[in-house]
Amino acid sequence: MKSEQGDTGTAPILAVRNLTKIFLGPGLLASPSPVAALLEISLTMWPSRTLALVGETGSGKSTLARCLVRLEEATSGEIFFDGADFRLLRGAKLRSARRQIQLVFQDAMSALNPRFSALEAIAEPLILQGHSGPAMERQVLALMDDVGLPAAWRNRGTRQFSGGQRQRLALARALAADPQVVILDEALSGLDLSVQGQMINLLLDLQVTRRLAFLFITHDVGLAASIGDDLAVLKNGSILESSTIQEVFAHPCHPYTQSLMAIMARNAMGTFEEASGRR
Amino acid sequence: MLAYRTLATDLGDSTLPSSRPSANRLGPATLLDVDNLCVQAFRPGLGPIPILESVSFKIWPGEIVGVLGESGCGKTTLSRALLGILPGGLTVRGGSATLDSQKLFGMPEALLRTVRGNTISLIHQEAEGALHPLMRVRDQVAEILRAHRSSSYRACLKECACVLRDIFGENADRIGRSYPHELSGGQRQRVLIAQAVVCRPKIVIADEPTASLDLATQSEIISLLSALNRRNGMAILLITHNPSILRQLTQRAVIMYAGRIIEQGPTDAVLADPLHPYTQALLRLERRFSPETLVEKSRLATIPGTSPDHADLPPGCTYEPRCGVRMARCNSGEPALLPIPKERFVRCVHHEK
Amino acid sequence: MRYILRRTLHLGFLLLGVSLLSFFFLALAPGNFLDNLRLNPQISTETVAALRVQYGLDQSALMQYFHWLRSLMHGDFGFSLAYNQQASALLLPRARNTLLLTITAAAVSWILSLAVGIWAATHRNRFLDRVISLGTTTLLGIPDLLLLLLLLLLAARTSILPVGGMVSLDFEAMSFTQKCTDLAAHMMLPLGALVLGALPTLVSHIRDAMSTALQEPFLMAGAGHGISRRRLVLRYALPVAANPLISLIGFTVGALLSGSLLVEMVLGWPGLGPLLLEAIMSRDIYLVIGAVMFSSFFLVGGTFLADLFLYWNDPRIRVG
Repeated sequence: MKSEQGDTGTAPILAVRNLTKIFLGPGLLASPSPVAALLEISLTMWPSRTLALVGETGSGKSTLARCLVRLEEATSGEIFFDGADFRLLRGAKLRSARRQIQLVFQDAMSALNPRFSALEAIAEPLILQGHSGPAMERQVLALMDDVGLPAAWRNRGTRQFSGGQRQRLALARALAADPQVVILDEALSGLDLSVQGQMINLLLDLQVTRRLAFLFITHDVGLAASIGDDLAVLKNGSILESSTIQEVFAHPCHPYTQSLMAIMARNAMGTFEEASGRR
Repeated sequence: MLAYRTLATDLGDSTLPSSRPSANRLGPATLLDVDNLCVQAFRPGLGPIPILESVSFKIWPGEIVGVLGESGCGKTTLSRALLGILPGGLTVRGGSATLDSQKLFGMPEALLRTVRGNTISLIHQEAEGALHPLMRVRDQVAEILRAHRSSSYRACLKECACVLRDIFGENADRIGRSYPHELSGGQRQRVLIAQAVVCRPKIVIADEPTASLDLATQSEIISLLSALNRRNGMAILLITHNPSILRQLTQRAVIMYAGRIIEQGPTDAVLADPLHPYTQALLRLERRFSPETLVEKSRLATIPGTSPDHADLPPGCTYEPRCGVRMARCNSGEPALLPIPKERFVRCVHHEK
Repeated sequence: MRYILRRTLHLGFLLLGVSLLSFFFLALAPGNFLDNLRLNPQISTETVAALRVQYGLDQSALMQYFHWLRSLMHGDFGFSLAYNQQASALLLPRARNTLLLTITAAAVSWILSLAVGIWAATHRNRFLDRVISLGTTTLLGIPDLLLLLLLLLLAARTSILPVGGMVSLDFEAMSFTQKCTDLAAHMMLPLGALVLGALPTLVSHIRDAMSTALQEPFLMAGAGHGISRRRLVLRYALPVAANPLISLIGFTVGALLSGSLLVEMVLGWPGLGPLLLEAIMSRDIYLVIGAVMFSSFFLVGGTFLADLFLYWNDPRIRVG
């Protein structure tokens, strides 16, 4: 039974405080027109728990993901990872901390080198850590097994994998670095419902076996509910509300959250289970 | 609290969602009659691979029919075949499609060009790729009008301004002047819809119109399609992999698997009482939430296995490898699509008399 | 607007840099204008020394450069030591002739290549397309000089076209139409050489760019809406193919300019080329710098126009 946040005295694995990201307009000979993509974002993630972040396109969720792994530098605010301020790290310390937070994108094809085979794609982070040889290959095969890809496919080109399989590949690659936090930025959007289900089950299993914390970013509230322990709602760069998922579902405070819940209720199908029960 | 409880306890509510128009066939003659359509792909080294196999269905004027299936089942190929824009390597091997008493396959290219976009049109799946990056929205819509009318470009621009106002409301002028990269995902999808309906076609094929859109925008797009159907009497062939979209918009449903139709019938009947094991499995994927499932994450229902490779299909029923109720008989040849009372069809040995 | 301002600034800096470098390289080259005179025993060393001071050749290269820059502000290109007149009087008419030749060559080669390239892209792998590919590859393989000499031979043997020069001897006496025909006839040969040299590269690039554009999904979407093939190629595919091709315009201008140097010398077209060669040989510094500046200006101007064209064609560039 998952406990409430911080009950057992565990420290948060990732804490974001007042993170702000402002984009300036084009420079030289132009007055910069600032766009605030993120405004004073504060989030907390606990080990082995999933924080689901729900937001529509343009809400700033991808910018947040990128700032958290420092692909982009936030304008201000703090990111505390495992106690230290992640934003202040440099050099070797930054490199080792970076391995601990991995990012999986929506379109795996843009993240995977099309000329690589599956083996090469997954091995890349391992090679960067200094591994090589048959021991490394065994690690790669173990990872492929973990994410449900047959070992026989290790020499297939990344382009030959289907959508869901590519996401598994991207996930294996992220796990190769042995992270503590995995950020999934719309990683399951656009996949078939059955594939989404398989991926959610896989993520839940991996969370238990590898004690991972997930930041699951999505626009699909249903998906968020399948995997999230905590839920935060993002709109126009600000967090509207954030709490445990039962709390947000039971008592949505903000009108935007309430409308999301209402739409989801309206779209749900209610009749199948009753019919099969009757038969 | 209200919304949450509705999720968990809404079982017997039979009121139709407000967006779906009630069934109304505007006339006895069928608008689109697809009969035994077979499409194959030619892969070098592998020979011909069946993509669509004996696909047959009818659409009456003003109807909204949904095609439900997962990726790889051939639904996009179906839409392209009907428009005659199959990519190289894919050919129509057999069967026919009759639109408004005209046979679509074998039609000379010049005649086909007058039908495409005019009588039947397609709303593409991916808005980013389908819009021209260097043309303004109003030009992209007006070009289509110009291709089918003999009026001047000016007159076309005026007419398409009306269509844009219909679809975008007050923002129509600003959006008409914009380029695709300046628009949001939902707006781009609407531009695709505008392009498809500008010539007032009799039937529109909507290929996954709500993919990758957030919930609120999805609802808006569905309402828009529904309104267009009501107002213009335009039939819609809706292609989707999401059963809830089916429920919100369509009157009849066609379920596809491995390039074949495996179940057909009125949407309510199919969703309430699915007959084919695949349909049942597909509908079981819909997630239900209760206070318990939100805390203790239970594993989601899945369909074991993966979508079949068309180059390597089993000898009997195509769904047999993943079926939960398979029998010995299922291997011995593919079952036929048989009619069941109340306008339904099923392709499964369990329902053979 | 910002974009145009930025580009103009670049242009200015570039030209300044070119002038500096040219002066510098010329100063590095051994010898100066007066060396020939010094070799002549009839001219005394005092005269040579006096001339040195008069021409300012005794000052350092940097000082000479600043003097030249200052006079440039007044529109004075300096003094030609060999011809004993203002450099501008020599440079301007030559520049005009080179410009005439280059612009016409650019226009003709682009129009021809567009027609051939677009046709080839829409009829890929047909017989004629393969012939065109073969033709362009062969043309690419022929050295410029050989091409020129072949054309010269053709002209000399068949006497259809005048061999060399820009106008006939009795040019002044002709009527306007006769003048035009005469000019055109003289331009045929150098034009032909330049166009044939530029054609292969352009055709293959255009064919490639168009082929890629024709495979874009919005082309298929347009076809799905019933838009005619011709409209699809010209209104949908071409603007998209134009982006990579527009950068090629700048490149073409450069290639044509350097090609025109050779062409002008072999065929006797009175442009900047022959003048530049003579000036370099006799170390006529101001003439050299002037000719180089003109050429650079044409080159940079060409790329600048190409950039403007790109800005007009692609709205996405205006955002960045």
